[in-house]
Amino acid sequence: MIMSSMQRVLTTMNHQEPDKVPLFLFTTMHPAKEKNISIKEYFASAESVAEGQLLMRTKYRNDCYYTFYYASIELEAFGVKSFFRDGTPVNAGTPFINTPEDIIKMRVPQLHDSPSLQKVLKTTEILKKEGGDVPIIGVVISPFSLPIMQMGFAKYIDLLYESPNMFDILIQKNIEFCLQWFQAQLDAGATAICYFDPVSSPSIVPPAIYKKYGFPITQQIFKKMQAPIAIHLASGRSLRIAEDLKKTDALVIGCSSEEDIGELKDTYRGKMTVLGNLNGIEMCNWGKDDAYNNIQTIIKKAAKGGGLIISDNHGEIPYQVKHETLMHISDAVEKYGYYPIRGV
Amino acid sequence: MVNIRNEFYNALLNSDKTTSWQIFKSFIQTYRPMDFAENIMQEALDMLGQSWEIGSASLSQVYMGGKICEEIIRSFIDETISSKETDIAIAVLEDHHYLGKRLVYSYLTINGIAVKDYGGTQLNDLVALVKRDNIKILLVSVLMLSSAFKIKQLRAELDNDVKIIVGGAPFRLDKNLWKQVNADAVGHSAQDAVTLIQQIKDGVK
Repeated sequence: MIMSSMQRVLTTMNHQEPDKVPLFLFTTMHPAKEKNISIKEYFASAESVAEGQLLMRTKYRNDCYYTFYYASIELEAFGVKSFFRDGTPVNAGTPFINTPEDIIKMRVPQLHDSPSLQKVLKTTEILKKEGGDVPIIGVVISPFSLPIMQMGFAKYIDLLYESPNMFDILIQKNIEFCLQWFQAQLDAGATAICYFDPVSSPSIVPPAIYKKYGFPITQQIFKKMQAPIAIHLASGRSLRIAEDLKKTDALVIGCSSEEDIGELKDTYRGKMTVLGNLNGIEMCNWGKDDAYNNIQTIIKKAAKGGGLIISDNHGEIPYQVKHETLMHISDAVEKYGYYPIRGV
Repeated sequence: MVNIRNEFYNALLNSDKTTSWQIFKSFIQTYRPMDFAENIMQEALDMLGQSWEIGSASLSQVYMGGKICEEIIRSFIDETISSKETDIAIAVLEDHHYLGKRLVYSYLTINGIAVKDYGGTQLNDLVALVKRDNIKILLVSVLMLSSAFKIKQLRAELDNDVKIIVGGAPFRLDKNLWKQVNADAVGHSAQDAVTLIQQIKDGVK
């Protein structure tokens, strides 16, 4: 029986085998390429992005819509400008927290005051209305990770280790913002939320720091939100904090290409669906054989019994990845991804 | 010595500034501060870097460890290093994340290598700074893939005798990317930077 994308995804998240391994190609910028317009122009309207996501689904047999525009869009709500340059991802402007006073003065943005976030909500509404039986994935950046853009990496690590009081003040404000943004996307029609939390990865902070800060913050958010949630560490490793991640009630874990997908599947089996772990950076240079070999490897190691969604490792496919490569990935899933798995 | 080094390594791993300073102060009651830098600190930092490479230490631990060491070393060799003339510079290209750069900068300082710190730069500004200061070895740290691709343009704008060493997440995830952007070398850890600078100075690279 051919399943709808929604059925396929729900079945695999239930740790059962669907008709085919679901594919989430997080092509945020490729619709601009497809439409032959600049990235800035593409993200200028909610309708444009909704149309882009519909297009990506048809073109690459994608099993979700992804309403993520770019990471710095959340920062725009705090009054920071994003920078658009043709052919490159959108980048955040200069961090706006430079002193402890900046943290104290920082006001939690209200969503209705942010035209950028309103655009994302409108995209979600359009996809809900026109998108059919396909999951819509919204994104929030965790309160623990947002400070990377608010103050820059090094300053944030200094704050985390050396100024616990200021850290707490900043995190409480970010939690308030995150809860608003999370709920608004659900209200607009998002099926699930991807909680981006790269700082929690053992690649960035040791497991003890995650346990002390990242984990309780995550729990605080998740307990208040009624929705399927994926935790994504944006290329960061997860195995060393797997036991804590499994306690969060998240249903999906975004996996790093630096960890073995077979080991990840064994670790999270029956508890969290593994999402990943194609190397998005290497993908820029992939030919057909690379795409097919990588898909075969993931399916061989992790497809059995469901609990697998094939995706990139970062949650955003680089603009430099060619259309042909994405097509090869999609074709390879079509060739090898049907259950019962054969020929890999 | 091995015991002291291991204790110091553990203190760095725990980002424990107090214990790190205690170990240093206790050591210099018997030996010279420079002996500590050469025999204890360098090896402990190497171990920390290796732990990061295999995924058993996190970036924040490496960063905090480097910061503690930088502070200790500046307590006795600040003047010597910062006043040195140098043809080596380090910069972040088109980004606001200075963690990697700071790590490498600390490690170079600890190893007695003077380096100009350009901070965060745009391409054109960086080219101008390198030319103005007659830099011969340029270390460039990037976080975003788009910034990594800018290295190609940087290479084209600089004379061939300026060696470009790159580092950062995109280069760690794609081991061949540095060649694609025409860099002269790639470093995946702070100690790689020391080795590569030495190789360039020795004419090996």
